[in-house]
Amino acid sequence: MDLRLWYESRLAVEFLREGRAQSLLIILGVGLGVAVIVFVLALISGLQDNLIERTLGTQAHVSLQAPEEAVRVLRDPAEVDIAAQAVNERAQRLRSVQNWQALVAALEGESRVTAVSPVVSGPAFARRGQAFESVALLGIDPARYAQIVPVQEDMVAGEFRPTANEVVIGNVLADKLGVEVGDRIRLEGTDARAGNFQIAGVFSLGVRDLDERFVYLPIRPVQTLLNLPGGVTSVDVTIDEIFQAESFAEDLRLRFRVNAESWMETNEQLLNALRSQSQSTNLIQVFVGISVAFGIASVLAVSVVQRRREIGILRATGSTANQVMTVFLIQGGIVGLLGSFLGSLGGLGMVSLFTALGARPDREALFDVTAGAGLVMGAMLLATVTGILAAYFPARRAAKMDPVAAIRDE
Amino acid sequence: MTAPAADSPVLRLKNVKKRYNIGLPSEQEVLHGIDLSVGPGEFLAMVGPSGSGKSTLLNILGLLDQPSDGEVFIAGRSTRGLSDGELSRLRGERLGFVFQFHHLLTAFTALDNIQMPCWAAMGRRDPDIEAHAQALLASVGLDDYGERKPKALSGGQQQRVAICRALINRPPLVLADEPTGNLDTESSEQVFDLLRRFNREFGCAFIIVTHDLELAEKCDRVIELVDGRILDDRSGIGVPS
Ligand SMILES: Nc1ncnc2c1ncn2[C@@H]1O[C@H](COP(=O)(O)OP(=O)(O)O)[C@@H](O)[C@H]1O
Ligand SMILES: [Mg+2]
Repeated sequence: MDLRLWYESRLAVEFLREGRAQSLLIILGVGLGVAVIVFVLALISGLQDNLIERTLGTQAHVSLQAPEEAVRVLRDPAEVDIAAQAVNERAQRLRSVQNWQALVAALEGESRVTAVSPVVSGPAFARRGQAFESVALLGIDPARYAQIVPVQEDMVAGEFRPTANEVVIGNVLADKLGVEVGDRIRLEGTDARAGNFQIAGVFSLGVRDLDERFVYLPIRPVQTLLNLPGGVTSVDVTIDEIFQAESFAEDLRLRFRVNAESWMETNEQLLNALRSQSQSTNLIQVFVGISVAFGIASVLAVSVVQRRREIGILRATGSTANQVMTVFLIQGGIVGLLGSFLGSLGGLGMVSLFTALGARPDREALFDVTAGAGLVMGAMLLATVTGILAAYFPARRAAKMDPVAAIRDE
Repeated sequence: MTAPAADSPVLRLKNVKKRYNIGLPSEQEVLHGIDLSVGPGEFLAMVGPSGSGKSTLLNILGLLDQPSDGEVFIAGRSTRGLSDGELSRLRGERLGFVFQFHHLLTAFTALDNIQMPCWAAMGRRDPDIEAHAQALLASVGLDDYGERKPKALSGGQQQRVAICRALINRPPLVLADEPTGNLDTESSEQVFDLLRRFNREFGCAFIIVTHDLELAEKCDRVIELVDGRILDDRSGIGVPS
C-alpha cells in the first residue's frame, strides 16, 4: 500500500467538499468542542501558573535550616542543680546553619541551582516615638536575595538598598510607625541589643503579613541584633525546575544532612487544590472529547449510507475494502484537524478577549497567549486522532458494504 | 501473473449456482449450475426475461458476488479463496464494468472518473494515464468534456464516459449490464456501436446484458438465460462481413 494515500485522500477531500453543508456543520461542531477545551485549559493553566508565580514570588524554592534542637536528658546530676523530673520540649533558640559558607559554595556549584541566598532572621521590635511594633528582621545579601524575591520591583518609595545603618521596611509597617524614607527607627533585638536605623526604602509585596513585619538589613547588623555572630538561620535556594523542588530538597537532606524544606511541602494545600482543579478540567476535556467523537461518528455514518452507490462503484472499479475504509478514516481525520484548527483559534480568541476584559494596569495578564502554541498543537493532534478513531465504525461499515447491493438499487 | 495463451478463455464458469436467503423459508436458487466459457475478443449478448438471473450472473462473473456453488476462472485461474485485495486487483486490472445507471462519481470530473481504476491500482496519478483517458474521451466524441462533472453531461454522454472508465486499463473482458437500458434509441445505438468499435480496436471481450433483441442480433454470440439456466447459446449470427 502506498503510504502517501494519495488516492484515498483525494476521494476523502472530494467527498467532504461535495457534501459541503454537512462537512461544514460537523467541522464547526468539532471546532466548538475544541474551542471550549482550549479556553478552559488555557484559562486554568494561566490561573495556576499565575498563582504559583505569586506564591513563589515571595518564597525560595528550597530553604535550608539548622536542624531542630533535640532534648537531651542529662544523666549526670553533678552537671545540673536539680535532676530532671519531666522532659519538656526544649524552647528553640536561634541557631545557625552549620558551616553555611561551605554549604553556599557547594550549592552554587550545583547545575540545577539558579540562586543561593544566606539569610539571618529573627524577631525584634521596631520603635518610633510612642509607636511600638513586633517585626521580623531579615539580614540578607541584597544582590543574592533579590534574585529570589525581587523586592526591588515592588518598591513604593526609596530604594531596596539596606546598609549597615539603613533599613528597608514594608508599607504597612511604615504606616503603623508613621515613618517615611529618611526617617529613623529604633530596632530592639535579643538581650537588649538595639540600634538606630534610617529608612532607605519602603516596599509593598502585596502580602499583608510580609508588608507588616519584614525589615531588611544586611547580614552583619542582624547577626549583632539577634546575638548570632557569624551565623545565618537559613540558606534559601531557587532551582531551574520548580516542580523538582521536593526531590532536590530530599537530595540535599541526604547529601548535606541539613534540614531542607521545599516550597511544595510548605504549600501542600495549594498544590492539592491545583491538582484537583486539573482533574476536573481533565474530566471536562474527556466529556467534550467524547461528544465530539460521537458527532463525527454519526455524521460519517450518515455519509456512508448516502454514498452506498459510490462505494459500490469504487469496489467494482478495483478499490479494495481497505481503501474504502481508509477514505472514511481520512475524512474523520480531516474533520478533526480542520475543526480543531478553527476551534483553537476560537478558543485562544476567547481567552484573549477574556484577559483583555479583565485586564487591570496593576496586574499581570492572566494568560500569555504565546504560551498557547503547545496547547493548540496538542489539541489539534488529539482532535485529529479522535476524528480518525471516531470514523472507525462508519469506515468499517463502508468497507463491509456489499458492492452488489450498493450497485443494484437506484 | 503469466499471460494466458491466446486461445484460452478469458473467463470460464464451472457449474455455478447461486442461492439467496439460504436457510430461510424464502430460500431460492436463481442460478442452477451455469457452465460458460468466453474466449478472447468475443462479443457476446446475454438476453432473457426479467428476473432470469442475468444481473446475478454478471455480478458473479465480475467477482462482485460469490457463487454458492461452482467455480469462476479468470484467465485460467480459479478465483476461489482469493482475498479481498486479490479480487479487487483482478477487478481493476482484468475486468471493466458498465452499468445501466452509468454510476459515475458526481464529485469528480469526467477525466478523473475515467482514471479512477488506475488510481486505485497505482495509488497515484500518472501523466500517461491521463493522456490515455483524454484520448479515450476524444474517441467517444467528448474531447471537450473532460473537465465537466457528471451532472453537466447528458445520460448518453455519461454512459460514454463510463465506457471509457471500463476500458482505461485495457481489460481482456468488459461486463455491461443493460448499458443502453436507460437511453433513447439514438443514444442506445451510439453506445452499442462504441462497444463494438472498442471490441474491434482493443480486442477485449464483451458480455452485454440487454433487452433489445435487435442489438443482440448484432453480436457474435447470444446467450439466452431463462429461470437461471442457459436455454440457448447461438454463435455466428451477427458477424458482419
Ligand atoms: N439480494 C437478493 N436477495 C434475494 N433475491 C435476489 C437478490 N438479488 C436477486 N434476487 C432474485 O434473483 C432473481 C434474479 O435476479 P436478477 O439477477 O436481478 O435478474 P435479471 O437481472 O435477469 O432481471 C430474481 O428473482 C431476484 O428477485
Ligand atoms: Mg438485471
